[in-house]
Amino acid sequence: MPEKFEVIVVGGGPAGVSAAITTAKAGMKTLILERGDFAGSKNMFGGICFAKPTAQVVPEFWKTAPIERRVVEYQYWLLSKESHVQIVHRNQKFVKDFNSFTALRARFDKWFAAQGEANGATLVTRTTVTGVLKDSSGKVNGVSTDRGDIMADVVIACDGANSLVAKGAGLHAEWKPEDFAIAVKETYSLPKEKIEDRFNVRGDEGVAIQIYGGRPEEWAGFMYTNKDTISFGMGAIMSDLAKDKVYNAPMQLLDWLKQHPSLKAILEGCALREYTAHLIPEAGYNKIPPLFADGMLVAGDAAMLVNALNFEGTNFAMISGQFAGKTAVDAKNSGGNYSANQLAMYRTYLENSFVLKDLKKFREIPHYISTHKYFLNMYPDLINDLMYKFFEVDGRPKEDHIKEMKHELYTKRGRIGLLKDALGLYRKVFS
Amino acid sequence: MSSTTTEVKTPPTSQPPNLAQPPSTSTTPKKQELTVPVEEKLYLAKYKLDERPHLVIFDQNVCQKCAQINGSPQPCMILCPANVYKWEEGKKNVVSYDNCVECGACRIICPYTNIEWKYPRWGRGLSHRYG
Repeated sequence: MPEKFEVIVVGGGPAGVSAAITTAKAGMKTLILERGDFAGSKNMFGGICFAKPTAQVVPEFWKTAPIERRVVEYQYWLLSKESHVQIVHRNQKFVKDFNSFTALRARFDKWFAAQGEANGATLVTRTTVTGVLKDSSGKVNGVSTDRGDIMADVVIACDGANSLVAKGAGLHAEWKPEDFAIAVKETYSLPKEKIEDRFNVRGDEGVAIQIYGGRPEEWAGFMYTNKDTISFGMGAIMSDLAKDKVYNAPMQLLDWLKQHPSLKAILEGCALREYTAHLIPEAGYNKIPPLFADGMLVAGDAAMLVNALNFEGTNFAMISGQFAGKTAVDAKNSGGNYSANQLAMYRTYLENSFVLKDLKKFREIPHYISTHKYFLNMYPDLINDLMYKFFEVDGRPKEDHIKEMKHELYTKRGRIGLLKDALGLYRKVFS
Repeated sequence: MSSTTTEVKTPPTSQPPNLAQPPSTSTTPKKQELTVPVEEKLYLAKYKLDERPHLVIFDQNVCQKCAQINGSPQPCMILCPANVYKWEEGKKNVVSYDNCVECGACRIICPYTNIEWKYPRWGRGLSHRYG
């Protein structure tokens, strides 16, 4: 007879550990199965976690967690061929009223999983879940692994963006390339003093940068400051990148980005320490797969719970994991009813929280952007040109500059087009 | 891939892969040199080999057909960030699964679901130091 737990959590990432902490705290016999050497060893993300959701799972986490830097400054970069326009917001409130922090998954998740263990969950690493087990009624009642079967009342699938467990259980079909981005990331070492100089930060202050534009593809880049490393990378929608018809298009795009004159100086003299890649669910609310079944819940990336527009993923993972855990506890308290009917409460919890409220609010934007690509590949150029003309001093009257700026605006998109775009975006965001 | 590699690998090469094509395709793959070859970057990673390949092409004939329809490099070769897939002599999709960073892009982009995609067993494969 295989061993039995009340809860099996598949995956020792932010979603899985949050779920496990919740069920273990409530006294449920909880097992976390992690396929990596240690929790975090298979995980990768851009770079920031959000403080308040993290504190909701582990109160006062900052006292023990391996955080890299507290983000004091957020930046948007809009690239053109040899220029960029930068939008910067620096605010000490982000530090005082702790908003977000940079982290490295291999260190943070290891610590996070240890919090799961401290709360009573059992962590088993180097064990890959290969599928779910079902009883005669079709209810999920365990998992098969590369080390044998393990039974459970409820399985919480937090196995990340590939979501093989939920797929195997029949909750959803294979993902579509237009709904996912492939992201590549490089981690560079750079001495602390150089990071302070290059990014104008002191102590444990850090900077988070999002980068757009300058390319025909639908892509976004990122750069985050860690203690003595820099996280740098980019993601692009898979179906879009596939049109590039070159070997290793993700790396080609990252190489282009690295050689952009605006970025080159920042990365100068940095030593590459790690190169890796990951998928990002980008499709938002309209494509969210079923979140539960008889005996099963799905959280985090595996359920596509990511707000790609604002680079928010870990908070969605943690809070959806926590709600999945809460739902499992409810089910136990309801007399051990783990049917889909009972577990449907999970969806309600998410609908009432920022997780599905945010995704619902912005549900039209992913499709809107991918059908109006000029937001990403024409406007950044246009804004750069306008800024250039604005600052240029060449002995001609300013009136001429303004005329040229107007001309460029109207020829590139047209008055009606500009109005449509402004209104379209306004409606998608504010209405 | 460092000291923990259980298999002796050939040293990294900056030569681009063989881009020979089937005669029926019209697209010319661009040979772009990367600043640092991907293989060199992958050598930074901690890696333990699972001797059983976790990536397997179901049917090479399907890859041939794909090359005829989509040109070469095929979608898996375009999207793979670790140069796992190489189109050799215009007829075989050679899978270097020990380059794999386990992202899953190839599985999703393959128009013919022709890649059997699993995770390596027992904690093997890539292990991040930073992540």
